[in-house]
Amino acid sequence: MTIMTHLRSMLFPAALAALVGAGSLMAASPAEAADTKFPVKPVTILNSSPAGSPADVMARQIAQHAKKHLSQPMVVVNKPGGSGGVMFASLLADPTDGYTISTVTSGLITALHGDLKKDFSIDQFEFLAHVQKEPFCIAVRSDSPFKTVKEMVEYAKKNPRLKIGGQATFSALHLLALALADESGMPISYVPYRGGSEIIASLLGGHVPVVVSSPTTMNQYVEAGKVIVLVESGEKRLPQWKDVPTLKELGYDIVITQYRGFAAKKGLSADVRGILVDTIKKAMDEPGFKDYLAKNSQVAEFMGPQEFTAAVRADYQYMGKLMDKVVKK
Amino acid sequence: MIDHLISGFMPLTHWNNILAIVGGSVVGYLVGALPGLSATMGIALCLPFTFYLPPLASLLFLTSLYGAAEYGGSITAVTLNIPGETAATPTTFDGYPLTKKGLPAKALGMSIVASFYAGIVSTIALILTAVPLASMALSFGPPEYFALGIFGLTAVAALAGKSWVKGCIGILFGLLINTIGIDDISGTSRYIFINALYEGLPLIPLLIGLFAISEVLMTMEELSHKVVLKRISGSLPTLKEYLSCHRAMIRGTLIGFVIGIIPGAGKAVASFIAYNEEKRTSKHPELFGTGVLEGVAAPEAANNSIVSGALVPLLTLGIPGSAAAAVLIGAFTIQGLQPGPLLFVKQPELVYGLFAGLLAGNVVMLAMGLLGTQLWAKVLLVPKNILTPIVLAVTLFACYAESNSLFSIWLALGFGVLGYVMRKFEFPVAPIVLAMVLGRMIESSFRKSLILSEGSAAIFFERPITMVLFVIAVLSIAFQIYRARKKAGSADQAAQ
Repeated sequence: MTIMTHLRSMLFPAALAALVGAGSLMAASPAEAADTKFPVKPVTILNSSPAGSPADVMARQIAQHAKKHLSQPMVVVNKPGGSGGVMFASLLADPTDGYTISTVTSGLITALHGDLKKDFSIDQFEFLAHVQKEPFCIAVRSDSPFKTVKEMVEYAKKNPRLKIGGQATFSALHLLALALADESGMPISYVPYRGGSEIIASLLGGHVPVVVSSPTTMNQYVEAGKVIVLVESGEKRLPQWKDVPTLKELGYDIVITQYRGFAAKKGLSADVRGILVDTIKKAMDEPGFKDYLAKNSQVAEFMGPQEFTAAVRADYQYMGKLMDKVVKK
Repeated sequence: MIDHLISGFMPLTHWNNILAIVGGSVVGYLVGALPGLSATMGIALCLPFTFYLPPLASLLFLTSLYGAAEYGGSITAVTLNIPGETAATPTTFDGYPLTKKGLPAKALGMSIVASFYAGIVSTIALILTAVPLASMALSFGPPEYFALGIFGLTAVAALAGKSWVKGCIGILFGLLINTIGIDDISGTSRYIFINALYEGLPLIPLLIGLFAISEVLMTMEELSHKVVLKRISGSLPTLKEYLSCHRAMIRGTLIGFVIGIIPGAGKAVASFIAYNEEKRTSKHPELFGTGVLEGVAAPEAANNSIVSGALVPLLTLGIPGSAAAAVLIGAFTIQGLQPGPLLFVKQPELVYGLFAGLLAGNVVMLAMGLLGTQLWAKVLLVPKNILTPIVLAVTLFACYAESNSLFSIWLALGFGVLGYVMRKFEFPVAPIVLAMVLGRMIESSFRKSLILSEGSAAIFFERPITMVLFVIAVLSIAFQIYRARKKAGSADQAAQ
């Protein structure tokens, strides 16, 4: 991700949205506005990662397939930076009218336990719809001296501290590595990298023996025979990796998945929320959206506001506890 | 492979692919020439529009844009002393003095030819060596990045101008402000007072401030005491002058290509190193900074050769070699393609189509560059009291566009005043840019190395690549000191 910090946002879609938005506002006279049905101008989806990242692609796919079901376009605007802080700030700055919503990922929610805590709280947001979920995985190079979790733990206990590479300090990946180390009793040192590319480069180059990453990043390297996945952290096995066990199956009480969905500033009216959620759900049912999922080995699962809010809160609590347990002791 | 390459040229007969290359080149040219709008940003801005193009056309558009933007960065560097891209910073050192002498077309002509040369040679290198060189990208771990960063800093020797001490102060200041932001390793925040600083000081507003705005302030001062405009010559470099820069172009191309391949290296450092090496190996190093053509050719060759270099790990391993290449990954995935070890196997026609397109893109860039040279030289005939406010407005706009925040504008203005004060006291501003480009890499790779070695510094001295880089760094500094002493010695003798 580092390298992408220069990329701040998509100027053109934003400008376009503003123009179209201004135009349609002028068209609707104040008297009509009250009884005109939402939406009367384009809906902006803020995204905290740069264009082309998994959450960005998901949002753009939803926006594209929502066209049929919403009278106005949805426009994705990228607001990367500040571990999500830039996007959160911008979401909270806009009125609570449903015209600005955002993508939300487990990474952003975990970040609320970190430095973002000073400025933002989970209570300021409401969660509209869950779209995708994906576990994390632990991988080694195919010539690794250990090829299962059990062998890895044994190896780690006999040799100097096992180096595990992954994303930023206090990220979900970091917590996953610490939790596994804690439960299995193997001594590790975590090496934080910036983003998937750096992690995979470091693994393939043999600079770290083990990495934690996401299946999306690892798929093609597994297919090319360069990487072996030892374990994944979801509830159940992944369709593309039927031989890879979950941590739960191996007896570790660790389930961490990353999810991607949509959120808004708290306080949407029930009508507006209903329309947005319904649109997202219908977009997910489009054949085009399913094509995209299949191409990227992604699994979709729709959850509405209530269910998703509960899931996000549960995840937030779980990560908070995990952080207290493995980091702060 | 030859068959593949020949079939790679086939798609170029389709009008939409040709249109993509020409369109990409035109947009890239403008993005490059606009200070504040980086190549990376240009690709990101155009990315959403390419979703609707076929995969090959989309990639041709974006890679042509990338190459042309790297060239375009030199235009304002030469004509206005404002680098259009970070990597064009060293081009100002000799490009702008040439403009001051009334010879902007010489510098612009050299720049486009060096960019074209580097583009073609590095693309051929990419086609021939992508697969074997992929492993080189992987040989760089944290200790190697640290050594590369230290070696990169030695380029300060060429930037420091008259005083070493002032150059080093610039470097240290740059390294210091680089620590602002969330610390990668411990996750704690450092010197963050507002949200916008979470990811550290952004480079673009800083570059605009130090170069563009300080230049504007300097010009405003000049305006008050009526400077007579010199005659501007439109003559391009002669064939002899091109040939005399041939070695500079080869060296620049090589340096750019190699640094392009290494995924985590700050890209702008390639043109700094190329400039430094050129000055070091030159027979007349004292003339550098006064407007020598080699000083334009080397960094310009380096920053264009990065484009192909960065595609080596991207196409073979799925690991981007530069920030712009990282955005290109987005272009692949949006199309349902995955750059990486399987791309050559699954989509050879796409890869070779892209190779052919890169070659064609360079030809388009050359044509556009040569056509534009006379035009850009004429920009200098615009009276400065009209040109200066336009430059100020355009750069501030680009600065805002980059981040959508007013904060970057204040940052640019702040660094503009700093740059002005520094220039007044004859402090070179380029070392700050060099340190900003390298600082994060140096710090984070140093600390990662120590995590890997569990605190032992031996890790830096037991690996061949780090040793070679350290030795070159030490030799580079020693050589400069030796030469400076020798010069001082002979000056003393002359005095006696």
